[in-house]
Amino acid sequence: MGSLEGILIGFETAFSLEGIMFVLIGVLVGTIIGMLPGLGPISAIAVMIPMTFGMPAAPALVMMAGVYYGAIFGGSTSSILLNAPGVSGTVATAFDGYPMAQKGHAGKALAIAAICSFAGGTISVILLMLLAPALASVAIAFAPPAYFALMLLGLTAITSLSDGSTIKALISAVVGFMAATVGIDSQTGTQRFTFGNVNLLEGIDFLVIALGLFAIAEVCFMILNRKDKSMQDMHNLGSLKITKDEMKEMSGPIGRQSLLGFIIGVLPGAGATIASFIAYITEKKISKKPEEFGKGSIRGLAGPETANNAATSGAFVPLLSLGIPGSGTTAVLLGAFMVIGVQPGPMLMTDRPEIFWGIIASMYIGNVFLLILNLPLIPYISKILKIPRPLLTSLVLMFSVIGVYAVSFNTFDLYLLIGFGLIGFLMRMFSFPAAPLILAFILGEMMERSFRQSLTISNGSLSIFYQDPIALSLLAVAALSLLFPVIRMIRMRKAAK
Amino acid sequence: MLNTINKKASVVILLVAIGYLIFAYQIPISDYTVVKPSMIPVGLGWVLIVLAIALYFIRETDEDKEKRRKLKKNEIVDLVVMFVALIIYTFLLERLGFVITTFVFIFSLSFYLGYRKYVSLILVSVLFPLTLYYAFTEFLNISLPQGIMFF
Repeated sequence: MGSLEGILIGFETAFSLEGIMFVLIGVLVGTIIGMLPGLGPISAIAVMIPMTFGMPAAPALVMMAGVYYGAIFGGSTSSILLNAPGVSGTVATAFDGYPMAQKGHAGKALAIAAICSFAGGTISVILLMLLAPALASVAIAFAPPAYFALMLLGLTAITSLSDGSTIKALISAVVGFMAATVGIDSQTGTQRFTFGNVNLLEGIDFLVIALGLFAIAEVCFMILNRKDKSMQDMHNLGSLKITKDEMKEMSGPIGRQSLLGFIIGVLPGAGATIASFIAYITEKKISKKPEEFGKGSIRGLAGPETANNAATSGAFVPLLSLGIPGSGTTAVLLGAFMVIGVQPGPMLMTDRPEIFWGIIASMYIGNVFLLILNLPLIPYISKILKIPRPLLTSLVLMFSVIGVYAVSFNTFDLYLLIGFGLIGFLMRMFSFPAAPLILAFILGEMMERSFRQSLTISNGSLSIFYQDPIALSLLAVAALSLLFPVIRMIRMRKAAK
Repeated sequence: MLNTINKKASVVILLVAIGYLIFAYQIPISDYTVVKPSMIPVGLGWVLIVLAIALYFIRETDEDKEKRRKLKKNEIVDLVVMFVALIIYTFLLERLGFVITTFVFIFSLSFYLGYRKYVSLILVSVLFPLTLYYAFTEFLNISLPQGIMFF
């Protein structure tokens, strides 16, 4: 099937009444959950999975994708109004967005954020349409060793890019991989780490880990911080109007950061968060008035807001065309694909064009909806931030419990969920990043499969990994990415002396 | 000897790794494949041991130290209450049914955490479980535990 025909099918899917409706539901839920401080796209996607039961795959996935980019879009609201980022991708938004709100221009800051998010989101979807099919056609030639190497690179990249100690990030990743080995081994039927428990035969459900490590752990911190007054006092919105000069000022960052953010989003390990920080730093460096940054600079707000949304579309490139997520969030999204029964990868574009192109095409509609939700409707939607913390806490816990129960129908998984919630809390307390764990957990089974397939092809010889040129170069990059934090540490020590 | 957080964490992780390895070595060998099903788990166990030892010798960064908050006694009590509430909720969910347990859970936890607007508290804790129960059974065809009552 030709690419053009596929694109048409995709647009047909996205622009059908059903498609439009589910995009709207997805982005609305995403915006709202993304707005709530701490609850990010991972919790949002995980909570929404039971909703998709009984739905056809295409609208279900269009909705889940909407939840993801909707959450990044909506996260900026709480960054600006409360100085409490809704998602980690909007931390940099607060640097200049919050000072702007303090000066009484909260409405203006929200409008700038919404317009830049829209522009970054829309421009990057065009890039996604060009790049994803190209990468898919290259990836069809990938053999198991190359796939293994690619996933290993994803893991090493996320560990070396996560902030804090790389050793801790690596420990998280290994533990995530270990959790993936629980259950019946898909290749031989051997039971591993099941301890005779029937509930563990099929392994640990990814929802248990996603909701435990993210939603429940976040609730713990919500409880600890619930008396924090600043979380409740919001600035008045003020006018939402933007002048022509301000538009002109925004256009530079929009152009640059759409492209840069998209590229960063495509790369493994990096995502909206890193893209937004890099955008902030580059905008500050090339600015003629760097002293304005941090005090309510328009460029300082426009840069990260464009970049984080562009990176979100960029993250769909490896997810859709390789079937390999590059971040914790896209890993959970891949989990959602699998629950729905769709395996993304190079074949998706030709086998299921209505899904591949449907998701991409729906992003245009999704971004328009998000612009409406976050610009004219923002005074109403931002009221959600006033939900009292004690109520929000109990409701999030309830949604997590339903999310897991509706998938597994047994309470054993709920006890596991509580256990992972505790682990997630302790990890946050002691600065072990959770994203490598979830990514390794999702990739674990696929990595093991491609590793064993490779060794089966080579009859047990590891040489297959360096005889395949693609695998060899990917493994080299993976090894280099682990050296990167070491170099950074040495440089920092030198600078300290 | 275990005077820093990293050292304590390292010992815990080391124990996890050893425990995992003990079971990894017991995975039965399969004759059908080139790669034994225990190969990856055994490898992972050893990698974790190496990482745990490395963590022992690494100093905690100042940034991490700053981020780590000391929990006060009442904060620990709050967290314990939340986890115990979740366990009780799970334990009773299939026995008493979704609607009742969820109502009690939302009401009592929000109350414990300091929410005192009774009217909205009752409205939320009644309406949420009922609406969700209805939505799940009617629209999604997912049956949540019915329990002792008609719903």
